[in-house]
Amino acid sequence: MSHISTPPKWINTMLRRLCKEQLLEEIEGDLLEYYKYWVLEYGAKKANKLYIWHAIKFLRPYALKRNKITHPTPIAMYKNYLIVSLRNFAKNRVYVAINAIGLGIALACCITAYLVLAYNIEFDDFHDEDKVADIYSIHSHYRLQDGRNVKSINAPVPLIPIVAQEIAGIERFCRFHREFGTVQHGSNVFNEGIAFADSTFFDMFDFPLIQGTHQNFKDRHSIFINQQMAEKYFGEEDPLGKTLDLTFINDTKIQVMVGGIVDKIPENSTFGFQSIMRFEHVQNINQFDPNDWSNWREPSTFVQLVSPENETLIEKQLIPYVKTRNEAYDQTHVTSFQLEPFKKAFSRDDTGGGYVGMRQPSAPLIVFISMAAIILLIACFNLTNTTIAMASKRLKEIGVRKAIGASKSNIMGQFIFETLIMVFIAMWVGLAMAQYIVPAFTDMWGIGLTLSDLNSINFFIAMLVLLFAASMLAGVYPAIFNGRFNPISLLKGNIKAQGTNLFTKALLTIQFALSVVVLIGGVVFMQNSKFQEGIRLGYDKDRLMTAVIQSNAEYDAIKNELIQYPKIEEVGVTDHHIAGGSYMGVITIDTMEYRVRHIGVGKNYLETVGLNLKDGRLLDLDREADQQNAVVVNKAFLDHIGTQHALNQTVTLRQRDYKIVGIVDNHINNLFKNNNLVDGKSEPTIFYPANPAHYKLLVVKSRRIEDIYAVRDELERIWEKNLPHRPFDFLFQDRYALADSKETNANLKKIFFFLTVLGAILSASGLFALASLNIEKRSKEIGIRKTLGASVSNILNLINREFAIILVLSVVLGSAGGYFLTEMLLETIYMLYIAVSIWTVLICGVFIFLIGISTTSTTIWKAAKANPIKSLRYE
Amino acid sequence: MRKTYIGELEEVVLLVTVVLDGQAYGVAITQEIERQLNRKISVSAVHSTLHRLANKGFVTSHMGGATEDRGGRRKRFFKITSAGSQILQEIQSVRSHLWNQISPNNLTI
Repeated sequence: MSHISTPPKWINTMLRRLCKEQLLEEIEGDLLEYYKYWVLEYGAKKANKLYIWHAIKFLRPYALKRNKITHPTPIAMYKNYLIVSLRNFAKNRVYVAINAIGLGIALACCITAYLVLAYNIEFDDFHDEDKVADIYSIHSHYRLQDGRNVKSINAPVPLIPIVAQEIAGIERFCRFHREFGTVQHGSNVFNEGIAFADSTFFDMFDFPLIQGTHQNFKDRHSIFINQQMAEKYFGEEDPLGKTLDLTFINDTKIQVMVGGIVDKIPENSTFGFQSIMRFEHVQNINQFDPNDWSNWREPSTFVQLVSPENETLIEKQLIPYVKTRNEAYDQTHVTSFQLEPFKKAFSRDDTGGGYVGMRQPSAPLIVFISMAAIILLIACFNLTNTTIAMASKRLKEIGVRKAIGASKSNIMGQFIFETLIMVFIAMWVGLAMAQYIVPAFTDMWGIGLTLSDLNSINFFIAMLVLLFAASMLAGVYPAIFNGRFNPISLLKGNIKAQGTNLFTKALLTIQFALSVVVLIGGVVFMQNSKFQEGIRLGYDKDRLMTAVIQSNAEYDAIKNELIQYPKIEEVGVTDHHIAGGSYMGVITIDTMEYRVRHIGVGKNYLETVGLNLKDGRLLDLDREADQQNAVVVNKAFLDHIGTQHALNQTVTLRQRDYKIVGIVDNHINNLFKNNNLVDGKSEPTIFYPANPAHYKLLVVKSRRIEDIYAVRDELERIWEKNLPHRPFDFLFQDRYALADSKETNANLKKIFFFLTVLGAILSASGLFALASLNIEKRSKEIGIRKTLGASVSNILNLINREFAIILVLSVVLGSAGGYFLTEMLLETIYMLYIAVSIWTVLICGVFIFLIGISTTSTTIWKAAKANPIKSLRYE
Repeated sequence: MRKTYIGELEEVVLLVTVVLDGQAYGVAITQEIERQLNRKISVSAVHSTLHRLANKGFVTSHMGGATEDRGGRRKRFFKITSAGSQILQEIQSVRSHLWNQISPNNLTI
């Protein structure tokens, strides 16, 4: 080798620092000898690595330097730090208040984000680990017609009873399902979601009871309810042993007896229910044969194995049933049934929940956590800037401390300690604010979890981590900054308050750019919610209202009376409804298959919703012929199958031939974008006659928009007269179709508004701190300029220039970022929206610029107005 | 009853120190162990073992002359003390005492 390689210097420095001097020579010597050998053997690169590794291995207790002097615990010093920092806080109350509030809000946001995170982390902690160790859920893997693979936690009804009989190794199983029904006790009548499970449910899973015994669930006609529901129906009465009358679809009536009151179940659990009864009733309600594989209702299914080692074996034995299932039901194609441990984490990202609760999907989780992190970052940077600003008044203190023996690390420790106290104060502010922010947030997103539901030990640890992370983020830079001064120049006064540097300028630019981004977001979502309310969806949205019914008989009972009311124009009935309840399925025309939206309609439905007829006629479902084989399609359907002459064409739908009798205009289901969308605007849709036994929605149209409230009152009166024991479950179509998008808009608007205010406050306070610092630095300059005749406005312009550049830069960056981000967000959520206009961006940018420049101007103005003699006499 | 115990690695290092006869220092001992016992050991482990042996009074050391090889750094040579020799003898005699009581038939492999 031509040149001599040497080991990295830093590792030798480290050795020299840490090892006893008397041992150093032999250690280094031996290492070096080896190093030469390694270089020859492996080359310089590997030799360096080996050298470092072996050098580190030398750091054993015998070789390490001992501290000769042991300091007494410096409690007095810490006391002094505490007193000095408190005095310092007292002197700078405004800065401290701004930072405590700003950082407090940021920490409150972090607490909120933690809540969402904890939802997933602590999911199903309610169930004891050992108790459910051998319980597995069955996942069905499907292949959809468009080639996508999906999986879902459910299985065909007959699968597990048959399998449990034929295969050894299954201890017991439980199927879990949900239905809607009407529950009545005396005069208390409400529509409820009810859970159904096999008799083994309480054997397999622990649910503490307030009253009753788990044994009662072995009785087929028992129902277990929670405290809330017990109060709703029975009030002060003792609910145990009382009966409830239930009515389900197909007018199925079931009487059940309350067998137990279940204690509160946390929101983040697989099983959440208000009331639960036996699975056998599902068969009665939906009138299916429990051995029928073609039944599309597939309950979530759980099995308890004799021993977990059998998992793969049993999974293998499930394979033959895939074929049985697919032969019986061909609407969806199952590829396999898999067993997954009960506690294994799945989220809605890739797994359908079936009828059970699941973890939150990761996308919003990431968004929330990164938002909280950004806010925390801004707040920490602010604290960094203000700490440096405040420290500039304390340079003499640092000088004195250093002169009497404080080392660099002592000074750093002091400043980090101060930041820690500051963050500690902010943490209390944050916890107080979280009491308001967290409920507001969880209400918005429908997460029924509160801070008190969380595991308190985890929460405490999370807060501790947050405290130290924030302190380090905010405190390290000022600590290094202040620790490295030379005490002599400090005491001589050679070092003046450092002005803005590139680092602080960059922080400020980012802060303001983010403020612009969130402001644009907020304004755009505000505009969009206005716009979407005004959209005509292709039918008489504004004049429609709906009420939930349970049978054709109920419709017949009130139809005639309704139509006589002069303000009502049309009355119809249906199974599915525009904007809700329909499904995507496959139809066949001339052996070609097409995927279209299926809407099963009832008598007079199409007339009532007011879809515009283009060609042919609408369905007349009082005629048996139409009920048997007539359908109506929309224009998007024609485009989809690629013909304009579809009238009288035969369509095969669910193994039955229909004739297209009419063509209607397109409508818009809802404003959300979904995967099924074909042309970006309207879906190809087929309206087919639903089985009258499935009718579940009454649709009423008023003559004029102004009449809708009068019509509702009349509808309610007629309802109560004719159907006194049925709950009046009513919605205006406007709510029906737009409720979700309205809510999303409102939520986003709130969040963006919150972020805008927060961002603006934080950024403005950061700017204020920086401007004050700058003026401090240049106070003499201002004094001299003034004595030489400069006016207040001259000085304003001069000092503002620097900040104007920062602001313009951040406004430009923020506008661009805000434009693209908001546009992207809108595009992923909605199919109909107003794009972000240049004017919006411009106005938002200018607005933030004005906030910024007025902050600096007022700060500078105060200094510029001051008597120059004061600043010149300073020192 | 012995007052001071000696571990297996310590025994090996001590023996090798004797084998190397005056030329025993960190690298030499390490390489000798690797060569003769076919045993992977790091130089730092040997150092710490030597340090322990010195504390127990089984070895003494002195610094050698400057060497070119090691960037001018001197080697520390180790030598066994009488206490060290005594303990090696003792170990040997205890072992042979035990071996003598074993009939070859009892050692099945």
